[in-house]
Amino acid sequence: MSSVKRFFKAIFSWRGFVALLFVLFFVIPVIQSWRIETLRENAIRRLEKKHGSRVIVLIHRQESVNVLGIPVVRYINIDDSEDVLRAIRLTDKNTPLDFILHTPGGLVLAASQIAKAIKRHPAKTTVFVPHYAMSGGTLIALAANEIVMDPNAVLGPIDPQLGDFPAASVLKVVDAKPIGRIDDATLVLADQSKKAIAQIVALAQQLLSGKMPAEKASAIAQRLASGEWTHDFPITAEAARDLIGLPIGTQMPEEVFQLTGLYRQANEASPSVFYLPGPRYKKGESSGKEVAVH
Amino acid sequence: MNIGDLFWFFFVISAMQPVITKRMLEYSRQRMISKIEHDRGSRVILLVHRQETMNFLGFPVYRYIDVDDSEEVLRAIHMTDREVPIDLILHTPGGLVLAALQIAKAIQKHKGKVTAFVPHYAMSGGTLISLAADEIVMSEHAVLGPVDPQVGKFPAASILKVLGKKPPKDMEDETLIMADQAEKAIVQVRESVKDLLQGKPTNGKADELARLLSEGTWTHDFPITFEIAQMLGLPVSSNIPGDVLKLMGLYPQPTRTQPTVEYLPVPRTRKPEPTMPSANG
Repeated sequence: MSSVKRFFKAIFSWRGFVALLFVLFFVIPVIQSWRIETLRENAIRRLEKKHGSRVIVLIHRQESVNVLGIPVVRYINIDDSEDVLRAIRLTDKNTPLDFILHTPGGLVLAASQIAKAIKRHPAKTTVFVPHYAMSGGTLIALAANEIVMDPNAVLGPIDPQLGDFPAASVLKVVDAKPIGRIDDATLVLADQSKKAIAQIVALAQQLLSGKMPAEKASAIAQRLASGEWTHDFPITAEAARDLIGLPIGTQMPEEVFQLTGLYRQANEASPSVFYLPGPRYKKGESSGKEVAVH
Repeated sequence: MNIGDLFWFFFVISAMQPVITKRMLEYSRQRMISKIEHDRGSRVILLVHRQETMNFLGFPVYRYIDVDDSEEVLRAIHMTDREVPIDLILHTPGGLVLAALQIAKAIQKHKGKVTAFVPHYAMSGGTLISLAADEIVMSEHAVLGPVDPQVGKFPAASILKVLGKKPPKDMEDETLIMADQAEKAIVQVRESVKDLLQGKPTNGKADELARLLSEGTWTHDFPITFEIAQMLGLPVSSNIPGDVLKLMGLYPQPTRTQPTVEYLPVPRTRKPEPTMPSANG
């Protein structure tokens, strides 16, 4: 009895309280982030070992909330390209590259830097798209020897955007209106648009060269960059393969999903998707064993 | 135990109370989900967007279907055997076309039967997802909405109306830029809807239905009730299981200081006649 009492005394005292707060606010978050870090590292190492490759992960969660509660939109920027280029530089010329992409796109400059570095890598390069790689992400994917997509994953058009406007739509204005009635600002944009589209087409063509005949590469580049669709148009694995003619595989290793699962937003305040984790099997089949891959 | 101890005891308990409440809520959600899964032999996925939560500074945060959601839903589908039926419970104002379409296409590809439950509303992107399901189960007063795309803050269909009425040389440059996007967006959504309705029992009306829903026949917030949905030929039914409604009750509006709707949460049934004879004199 007295020992219980002493225990409670220890908890309900100033010192006990401070210690409790310390554990709650400092120790636990540190341990948690350290744990997730180790899990990620292990997952990457497992994949590297399995493929005998260098694994680079480029994940942009749509929206993380900063200290003030204002959402931050993440995209491919120069910091990313710098990090990726460093990783590639640290990789032996004969070691294959496995690139895991999950991104809405970003700066053309940064994306093209990454794409060119991948293209230049002598060993085999593979881009895995477990969920989506739009715009700049698609540009990077075009550079790889092989693109592996989940059957439900999507790529996007690579037509350049100037400010808020798609370059292709700006050019439409010049066609539709007599030049005397167009704003100067629009004409300035139109000039940039023309250059931007031509540059992207040339870049895409160059990235695709060597993997297919030149005419085909040029046709694909035109199609993706000319603004045939809106910029958020989802190009599914099937469409990319059948309609556009890109070489796409759909054998996504299960490890990639496990890995992206580890980059989920840490303690999101109020999630909007709920389900009970764990696989579901048809009745009568063995349950609870290995996760079935499609 | 003296007063000080009592104070600390009280303090710790009250500090832990929200955590305990949250855990208990989570537990009852899990129990309800697994009950439905067990009863129907299916995988249950919920997509619930409570309109408005306050962030740290008190600004309202609007929730909609974003790519994080589609990723999470696709992860759940990925973990489900192809033959296992999926029950998708939707409560959403809509969201990004990309995200909604990705979910819709994944559902369409799923071999087992997919049922979309709409206990209250599934507008725009939510409707797009429902169209991909084999069956849409709505509660009696639930609504779906048109899926016409929005460009910036304007409905694409309305932008195109301007293009139809004014000669291009008199239009603003920005309107022309938006009109170009609007044109593409409408065609894309229409074709996607048509594709989603393929092989569904809409008796050859897929083309017409896709036009109706995506070309701005109505405003974007027009409520498509159960009756209208039935008239349109959508595979709707209205017998929503009580468990689904109970489950939705476990996802209340978060962090609202003052609830705006109040009632006693017990069922009311009409009593067999004369209970209060004196009431109406």
